[in-house]
Amino acid sequence: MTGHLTDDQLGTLARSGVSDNEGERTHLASCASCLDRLVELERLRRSVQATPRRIEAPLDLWPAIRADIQTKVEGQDVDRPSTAVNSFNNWTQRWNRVRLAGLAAALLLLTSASIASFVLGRRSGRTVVSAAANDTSVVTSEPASDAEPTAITSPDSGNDMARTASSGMSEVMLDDADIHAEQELLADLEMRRSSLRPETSSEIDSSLTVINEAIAELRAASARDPKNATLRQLLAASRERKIELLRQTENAS
Amino acid sequence: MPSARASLRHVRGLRLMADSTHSDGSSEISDEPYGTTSADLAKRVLAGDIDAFEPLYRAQSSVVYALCLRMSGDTTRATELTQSVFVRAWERLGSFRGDSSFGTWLHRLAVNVVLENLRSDNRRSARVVTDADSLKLPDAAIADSPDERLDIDAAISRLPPGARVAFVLHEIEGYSHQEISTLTGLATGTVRAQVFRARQLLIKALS
Repeated sequence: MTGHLTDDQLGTLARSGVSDNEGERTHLASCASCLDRLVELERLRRSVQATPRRIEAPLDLWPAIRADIQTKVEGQDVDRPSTAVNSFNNWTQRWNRVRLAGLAAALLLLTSASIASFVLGRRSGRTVVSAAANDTSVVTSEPASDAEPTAITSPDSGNDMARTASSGMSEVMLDDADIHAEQELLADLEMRRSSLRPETSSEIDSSLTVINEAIAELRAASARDPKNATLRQLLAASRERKIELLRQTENAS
Repeated sequence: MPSARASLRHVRGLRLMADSTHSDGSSEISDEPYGTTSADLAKRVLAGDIDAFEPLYRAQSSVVYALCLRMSGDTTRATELTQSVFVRAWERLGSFRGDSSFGTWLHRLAVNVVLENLRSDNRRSARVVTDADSLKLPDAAIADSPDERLDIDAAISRLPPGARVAFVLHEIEGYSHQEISTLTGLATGTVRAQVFRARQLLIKALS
């Protein structure tokens, strides 16, 4: 054996104490470097083995656990018992719920305002400021077409026709990373669903519905005017907002 | 008499805990003495008796807390995680068939709960712990205080998160690289590198 022993080999040796491999034994007998490493690893292993398997928590968690379980059993909207940790958690949970609702409302307002501004802007052929796409950027609308744009009056999140019609330019705006991130976050949310309080789960669903409706509106508008870059930009921004919302839900409980 | 009831519960928990401590330090609830097995308790819990869950908690809480503390490196987080583990255990108790011991079943569930939470923490802080990332972390990740050099648990708590999780699962909990890879979703090579890095840092801390 010419090269030094690998960390894996040394780790296994430190664990077992003996080597069945003649080459390893020969190498160790002549290589001070590997032998030193082995001694270090054995020392580390002894330290690790000496660590206690049991460590008592600084406080009795049973009352808090029992209260959590009782709450789940009864499905009541009550706060957790007020241990120091839970008091902080309760505050952050409330704050997160407020932020969730606020974010969804803001998105809806921004998106609706942007669509309205865009439609009005197209009618007058003026420049439109797109808040939803970027708070500071100014985008210019496409030149007004001959056809009169259709006003969007009501959201329709379940509009399969709109989705089908839009499955062209709009979807091009989504790159694979965004789609993957959204799917991963949605899957993560579903995994955590059982541990969420019912009202939190409901609020998240409501917020997602609002955002999905906004996205559906934009998809429908984009399907009617597929060459319109502003609408595509708004749609992409809305998808980003959805991902942002899903990330926010990771703080919810 | 609430106090007497609480005392009885406490004694029952202690009995189970005593049964659970083997000479090799492993943690199981015995299914033999005293007539109350973990499977019996689980049945009572599933029938709606929340208090039957307390002896299971008393017997296993210190093992679960130790795991949470070592994997998170933070006492407050470990307390939260321990609480989450037992609430999740109550939710999933229907999947405990008694084929393995309650301790084994709970340990697997605890590892999953902790990893799930640590992943969420990573996403929240928009920080992805990769192999390259962990290798870049400064040696200052290990404290230079002489007292802490002597304390392996303190040294473990100061490891970079990815290296800490891999080291604890591999060296303390006995998971193979492949099992850790499956649990964490990291490549086996990455897990090996994390364990290697952790060893390097700990050897330096203890030298």
